Amino acid sequence: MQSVGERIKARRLELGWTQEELCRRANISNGFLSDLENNKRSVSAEMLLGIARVLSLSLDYLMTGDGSQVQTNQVQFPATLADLAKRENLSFVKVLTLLDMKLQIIAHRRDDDDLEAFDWKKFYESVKEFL
Amino acid sequence: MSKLDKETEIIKLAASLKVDWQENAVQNIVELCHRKIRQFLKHAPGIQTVKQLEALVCENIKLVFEEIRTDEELAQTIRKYLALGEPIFATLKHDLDEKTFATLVERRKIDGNAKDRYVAVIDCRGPKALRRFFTRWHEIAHILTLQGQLELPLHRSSTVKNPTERLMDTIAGEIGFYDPFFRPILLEETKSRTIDFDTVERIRNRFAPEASYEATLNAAVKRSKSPMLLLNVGLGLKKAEATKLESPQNELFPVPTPEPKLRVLKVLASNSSIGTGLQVHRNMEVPKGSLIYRLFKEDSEDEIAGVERLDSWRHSDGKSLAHVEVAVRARRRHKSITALISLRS
Repeated sequence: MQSVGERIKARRLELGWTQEELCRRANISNGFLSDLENNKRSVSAEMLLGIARVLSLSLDYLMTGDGSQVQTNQVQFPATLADLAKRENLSFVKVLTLLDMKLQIIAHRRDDDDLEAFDWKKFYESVKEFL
Repeated sequence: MSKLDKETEIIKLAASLKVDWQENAVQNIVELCHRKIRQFLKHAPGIQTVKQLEALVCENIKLVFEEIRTDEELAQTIRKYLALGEPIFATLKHDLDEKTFATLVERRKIDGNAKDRYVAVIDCRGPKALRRFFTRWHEIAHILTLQGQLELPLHRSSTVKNPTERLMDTIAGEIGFYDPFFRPILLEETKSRTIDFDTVERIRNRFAPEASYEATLNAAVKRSKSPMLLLNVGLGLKKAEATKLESPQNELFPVPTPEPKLRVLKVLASNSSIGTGLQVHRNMEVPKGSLIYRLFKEDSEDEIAGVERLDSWRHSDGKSLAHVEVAVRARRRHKSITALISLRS
């Protein structure tokens, strides 16, 4: 399994950057990056966030090697919401509004052993008169 | 490091909150919440009770609570926020079902400095009211760690299995039972005796009568100065048996359904028990010679206390627990047993 340093190096080479180039962009020293890539030292969360941003990598991928590699700013529609939009013939604006409203729910405390799937249909039915 | 420390979700949250995620991420996040609270307290020196503390923290994090005790109150709350231009509240009618305790919402039609930017709707209908105190602190924990959560691509509707929700419970247990207020009462009540069930009731009445007995028991055991375990015991299957039962894969030959046995369903260890040899593992079978087993099997008593040896407890591979004498106090609770186990001095 690759280490954090190895993932940074792999991405740097993929971008065709020298160590100096990455250091300049991430505002870190050459010695630090060299040690990091060679697994000789650990990295603070703050610094790792900066490196992840410069390399356009998701923090998730950089830290664990799992998940989507590239950080994207594109809006992603869950498949279940896309299905609902098709069935209900919802406009793009309405779908975006639904997504935005869903983001207003910060947490939802349930006493349940099952990992629940979000019910877009129920959610839409509750708010459709306000869309 | 605990199991929770190793969860990717928790590591990412710690990193986003800019605290050390490589070692003890949970403790570092809890400490961050403590730092924030200490900062709030610096500007409010007169705070002396947990109720006052809750109000102070909420004011600082721009959180208000809406407690729902009847269906009519729920309808009124929905109407109130709809009138304020927040249609998201219309989802509450279906959202607050029998298994949901609270929903935390960020308002949109409001300026950033308003005192009610976040609204936690707490369902206090029926038996859910018992968890009101803890749920309020759980929602506070969400806001105290919000910056980190917002940076994560998570589905934020969560269940008890979700690592973030488990972390919020840990934070709530720490800050809701705020140590500078809770510990003096705990120490005073346990000056001449170890924690028992009646002591916890007295602590609860003095600290926060609105807190549930269970939450107070957990907080008291966790901080007990003498090594102690709190067990929840009931009928259950081995992990492998439960996994097999849940598996959709059919067996080639019919296999008998495993029989649930009396097992440890939950364990909470006091911080002081670390390194003392006092430990019982989750899912262990309760030995037939234990007082806990006796209480479970016999209907005549509701509480039992005595001394026994911990080495009568065995793992499935036959290895026994530490050779120590322990004091056991157990109390029947519905279909399960709550037991306190402490090293005998």
